[in-house]
Amino acid sequence: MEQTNIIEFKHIHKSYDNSVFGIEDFNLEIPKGAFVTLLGPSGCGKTTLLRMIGGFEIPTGGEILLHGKNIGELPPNKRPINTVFQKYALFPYMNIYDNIAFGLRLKKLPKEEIEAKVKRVLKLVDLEGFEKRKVSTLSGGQQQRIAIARAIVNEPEILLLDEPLGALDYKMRREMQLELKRMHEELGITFIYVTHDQEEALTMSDLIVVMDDGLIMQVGSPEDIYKRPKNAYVADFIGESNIFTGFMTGEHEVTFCDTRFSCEESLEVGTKIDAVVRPENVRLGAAGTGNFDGEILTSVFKGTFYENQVQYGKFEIEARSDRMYQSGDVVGVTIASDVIHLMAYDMSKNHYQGVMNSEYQVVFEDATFTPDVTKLFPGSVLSEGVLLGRDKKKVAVDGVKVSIAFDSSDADLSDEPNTGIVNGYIASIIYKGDHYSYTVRSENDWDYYVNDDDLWNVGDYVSVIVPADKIMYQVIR
Amino acid sequence: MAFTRKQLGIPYALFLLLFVVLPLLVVFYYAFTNGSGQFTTENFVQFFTNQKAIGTLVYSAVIALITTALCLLIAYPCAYFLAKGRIPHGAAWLLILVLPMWINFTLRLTAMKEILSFLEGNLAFHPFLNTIIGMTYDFLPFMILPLYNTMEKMDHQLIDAARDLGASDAVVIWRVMIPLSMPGIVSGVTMVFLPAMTNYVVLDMMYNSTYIMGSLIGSYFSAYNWHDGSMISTVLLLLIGLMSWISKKAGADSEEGGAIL
Repeated sequence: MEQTNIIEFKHIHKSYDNSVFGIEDFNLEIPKGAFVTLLGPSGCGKTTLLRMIGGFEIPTGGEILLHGKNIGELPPNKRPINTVFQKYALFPYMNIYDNIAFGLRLKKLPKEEIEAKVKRVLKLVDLEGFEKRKVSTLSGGQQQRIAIARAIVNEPEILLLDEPLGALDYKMRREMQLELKRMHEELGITFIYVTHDQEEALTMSDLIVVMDDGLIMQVGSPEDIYKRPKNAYVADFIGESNIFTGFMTGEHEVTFCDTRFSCEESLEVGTKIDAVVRPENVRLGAAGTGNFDGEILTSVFKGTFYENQVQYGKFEIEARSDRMYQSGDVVGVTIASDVIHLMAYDMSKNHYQGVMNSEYQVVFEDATFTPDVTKLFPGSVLSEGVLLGRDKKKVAVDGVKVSIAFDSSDADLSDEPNTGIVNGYIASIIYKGDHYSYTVRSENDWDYYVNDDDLWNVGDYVSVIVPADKIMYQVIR
Repeated sequence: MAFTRKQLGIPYALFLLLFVVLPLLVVFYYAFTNGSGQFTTENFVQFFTNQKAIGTLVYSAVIALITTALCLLIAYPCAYFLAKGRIPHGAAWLLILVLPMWINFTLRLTAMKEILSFLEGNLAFHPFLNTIIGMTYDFLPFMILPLYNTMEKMDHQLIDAARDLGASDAVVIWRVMIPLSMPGIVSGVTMVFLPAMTNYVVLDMMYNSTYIMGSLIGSYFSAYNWHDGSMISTVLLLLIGLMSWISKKAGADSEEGGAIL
């Protein structure tokens, strides 16, 4: 069967006058009839996208295609799309019947038809006989069902759900997740769901779109995203994970935690990689029986399993087990070849662009760098503070664009401001087995990626130190 | 003797008794007695059979009605845009609109008079119009404030929800915004309508020699006719009570949002 797309985002841009958050060149296709989840932390742009589909926000650039037609600037009341809002948004001065019938009455449907439809949809959400009730007499879960009923009674082509279960307690949320999935199957319309809860996304979706900072990190089925995350961010955001930095040391052979492992996946020999191993796939056994022996640091009962922290040299491994261990126990750690997922190590992260001034400094929004200009312009020499080219004439450098790059492992963090190239707040932490990978965000909203052995907290104000000889410069022509 | 929290209430109870309950009782006493101190309903009958008095009541009601309607028309969009932060420096604008309340209203009216006489040549040409302008100007802040308060608390998601369900802008205003801001409308109307019925100072200053309820009461009292003056006050009091009761009924239907009053 040919799959058709109901919604397509084409080069969507959205920026706000007084905010640094925004969306740049966003492209996505949503197949008809699917249950699609936009997943990401708050502020990643997922709600903005949903509001653009609903018509509550207008993109500053690009097109949103519904069945191939641009609806980017159509007002919400002209779209065959309905929304279930985060806080239900039921009209408090109307009873349940009037709330659900609101949209139908605006369409001027005959009274009997409205009545029949309201009745049917109330049955669908399992709240028959609630017609005359006031909104305030309903529990949160019931109100949410009514909100869903009010949206689907209009038979939209797409149902948008903006964290609809956020205000419910855990048990109710689990129940509603299954309920929503059932309704999706029963109605056969496209659901676009926004959440920051990865478990919710994995439970319900056909397709998950993992987002961060207005960018798509990965699009895939729940299984894809869990088993084959594209990068360390996705691996860390979805579920618990061990992420180790290592190298390919052979065909189907990888080395991390100072140990060689065979693995089913493979990348080019010699490349630096990030290996993902889920805690439930790390097997613990008697000492000497595994890939290496480690020492139990902690063992915590979690209901259906024990969660163990295992120390091996400078590495820390998280593993689940059926039995309890005492801290200090020595265990054999086994990681099978089919549970190691390899991701290319991302070294291209710390890349910035500056402009050279007449004092041979590279000026970038966050910092000013002083590179060795003679290396930047091959064959040139500095004579009495003036840069001369091969032809012994002064080289015009003013306004030349220069790229600045450094490896995240060459950078360090310090809590003393102004000791490094730039100051910023720690925006995220990913543990990589023997070190932490930090994202430091500067005042101007630039991100710096730093590997550091010490533990910092999100929100700490730090200075990023990079030794001058580790910064690479290149003239952009 | 042990000090209890109840004793803190004594000053307030005394104040209420001396300055609210007692004067009211005095008013009621005069309203239902004649010159020789005997009980009578004659004052009451006389008010409703006196054509001039009824005429004054109607005239006052018309002035109050127009003033209230104008205030509502001006204040509603004002309050909406201020509350929803659509205009830069909203707080400053609100202050500018409410600031006149800090200045004595006769002073404000004097300024208004100057402007009006400049525009109209002579104030005496349009006494009714000038009265309406003066009243509206005087009472506008009392309408803006309660409306602003309810609208600030209004859940914008409900407007989004209505639009999502297919409502045009007109439907949104009629079916969502007005019901949601009902508590503010009710308290705004009560705060403007009733004072507007009695505030004869505005008429005096605008050279409008027609009587309204306030001037009528004043004229009886200055002629030492306590009985008729008190009866008119009692009738007004009943009207106020009736209106508050109706507006309370109307307000009870819209539970969310709150307002001054």
